[in-house]
Amino acid sequence: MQALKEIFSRMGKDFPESMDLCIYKSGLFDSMDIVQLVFEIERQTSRAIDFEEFFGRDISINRLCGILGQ
Amino acid sequence: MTFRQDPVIWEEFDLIASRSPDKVAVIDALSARTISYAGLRDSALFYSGEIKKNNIEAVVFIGEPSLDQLGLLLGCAHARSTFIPISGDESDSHVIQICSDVPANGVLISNRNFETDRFLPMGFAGFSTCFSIPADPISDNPSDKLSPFLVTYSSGSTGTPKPIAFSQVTKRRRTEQSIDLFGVTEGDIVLSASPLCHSLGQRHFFISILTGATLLRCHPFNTDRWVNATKRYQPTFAIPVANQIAMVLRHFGDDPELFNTFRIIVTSSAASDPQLKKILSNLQGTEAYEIYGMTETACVTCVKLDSSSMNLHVGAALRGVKIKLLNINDEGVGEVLVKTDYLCDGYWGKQRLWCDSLVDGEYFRSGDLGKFDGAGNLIFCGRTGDSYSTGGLTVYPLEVERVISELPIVSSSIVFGLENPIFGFLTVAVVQAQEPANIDQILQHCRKCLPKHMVPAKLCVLPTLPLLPSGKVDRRRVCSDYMSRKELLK
Repeated sequence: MQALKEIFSRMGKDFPESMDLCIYKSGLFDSMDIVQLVFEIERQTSRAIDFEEFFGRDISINRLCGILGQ
Repeated sequence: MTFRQDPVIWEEFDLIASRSPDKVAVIDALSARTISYAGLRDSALFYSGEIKKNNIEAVVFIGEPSLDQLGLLLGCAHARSTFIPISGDESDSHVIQICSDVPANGVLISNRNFETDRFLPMGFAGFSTCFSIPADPISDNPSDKLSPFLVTYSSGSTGTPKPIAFSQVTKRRRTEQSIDLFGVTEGDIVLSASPLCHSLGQRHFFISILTGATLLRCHPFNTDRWVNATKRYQPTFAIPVANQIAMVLRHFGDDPELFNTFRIIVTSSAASDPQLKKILSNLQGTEAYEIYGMTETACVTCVKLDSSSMNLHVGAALRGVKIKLLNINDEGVGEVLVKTDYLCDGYWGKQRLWCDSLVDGEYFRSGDLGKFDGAGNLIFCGRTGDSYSTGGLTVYPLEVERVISELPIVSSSIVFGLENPIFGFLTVAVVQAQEPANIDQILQHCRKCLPKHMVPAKLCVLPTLPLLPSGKVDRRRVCSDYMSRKELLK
C-alpha cells in the first residue's frame, strides 16, 4: 500500500478512500494518467504490464495492490 | 536529367593554387601531415590524367581519402567526371547496390578490402579494384548520360539513402552561400570533424579550397582530437554537428581555451538543445550560429545565437530561399517546403524519385515538420515520419527530446513511438545521461513541462548512444536496439 501511495504522490494524485473504486471510470485518472501509472508499476515490479488485460477490468486500489504484490 | 558541365570548381581552385602555391591547403590532424595548394593541384592533375586515360566517368570512393587521395576529388573536377564518396562503414551489399545504380562506367576505390567477385583487379593509380557496369538502365534519354560532378549519398538517418547530385556550377553557388554567410576568407583555418562522404565534410572542403583558406581535417571525430587540434592549429571557423560540440563541452567544458581561437562556430545537422545554445551564445569573442537545411537545399535558415535567441526557432528564410508549409494541422504544424536558388541538381539516375520530392516542380519536400512563430521564424518540430498518435493526440518526438535535454544530467535523448494495442503508440525515451541517472528527476521534469500525452511511457537510461559517422545520434539503431530488448528497461 505504501508503494502505491508513493506512486500516487509522485503523480500528484489524491489517494482514493475506496479500495474498490475504478480510478479510471470515476474520472480520478484519465487515460494518459493510466499510462503513467502503468509505467510506475512496471518500474516498481520490473515486469511489463499487458495493456489490454490491464484496461480490460476495473482499475481499483485493491487490484493495483495485487499487481504490486502488496 | 542534365548537369552543367562548366568546370568552375576546378577553375577557381586552379586560380587560388596559382596565386598561393605554397600555402597549406589541408592539414591532417591525425598524422600532422600537410599538403600545399600546389601539391593538391599536382595530385589532382595526376588523377585527372589517369581518369581520362582509362575513360572513367565515375569514381566511387569508399572510406575517408588520405591526404594524398584528396586530389582525386579535384581530379574529377578537372576531368569532368563524377566523384561519389561513400562511408567506410557501409555494408558490402550497400556498396554493390550503389555501384549498380551508377549510370556510368566507373571505378571503385576502397580503403578497405572487398571479398566479392564483382570487383575485378585492374590497377588504377595504385588502387586495386575496379568495376564496369552497363549504361543507365533507367532511361533511354541520351541527355541522362551527362554526369554530375559530385554525388552525395544521404546518410539514411532521415530515410532511404539518396544519390544527391551536384554539377560544379551548383556546388560553387552553394559554397558561396556559406562563404558569404560567415565571411570566410583565405585567412581562416577551417576545422572539419565530418567525413568527406557527408555533406558537412564536403562543405568544409569546398569552403576552404574556394577561398584559399586552410582545411584542418579532424576526422574521425573524438573529443581529445578536437581539443588537441584546436590548441595546436588554432582554427578560426567550423560547422560541427551539434552533438560534437556537446561532447567537447561535456569533457572539457571548464577549459577556457576551448573555443577562443574560433571566430565563428556554426551548429548544424541536428536541432541544438537549449543548454547548448546558451553555452555557445555566451562564448567570449566567438560568434555562434545555428543553420537549418538539408543536403538537397543547402542553408535554408541561419540564426545568430545570443541571449535573445534562446527560443526554439531556427530563423527566417535566407536570401534566395522561400519556405512554406504543406498539410498544416490545427496546431499550425505542416511539412516544410523549400524553394531555393541553391537546390541540388536532383537524384542521379532516380528521376522519378526526384520528381516525387518536389511540389509544383519547384518546392522541395523536406520531410521535416515545422511551424512559424509570429515573426515568421521557422520552428523545427521533427520529421514527418517521426510524429505519431497516442490516444488520438499527436506527439512530436523532438519536442519531448528538447524538454528532456533541458536537464543538466542529460547528454542527449531519442524519443519514438512504440506500437500499443490500446493507444496506437506509446512514447519511449532513450536517454544518455552523464552520471548515474535519476529516472524520477527526468520523469518529474517531463510531467511538469510537457502535455500529459507527450510524457514518456517508457524511459531507458544508457551511458552512451550509438553515433552515425556524421556524429549525429543513430536514431534508427537506438530504436531497433530498444525493440530488440524484450525485457523491461529501466
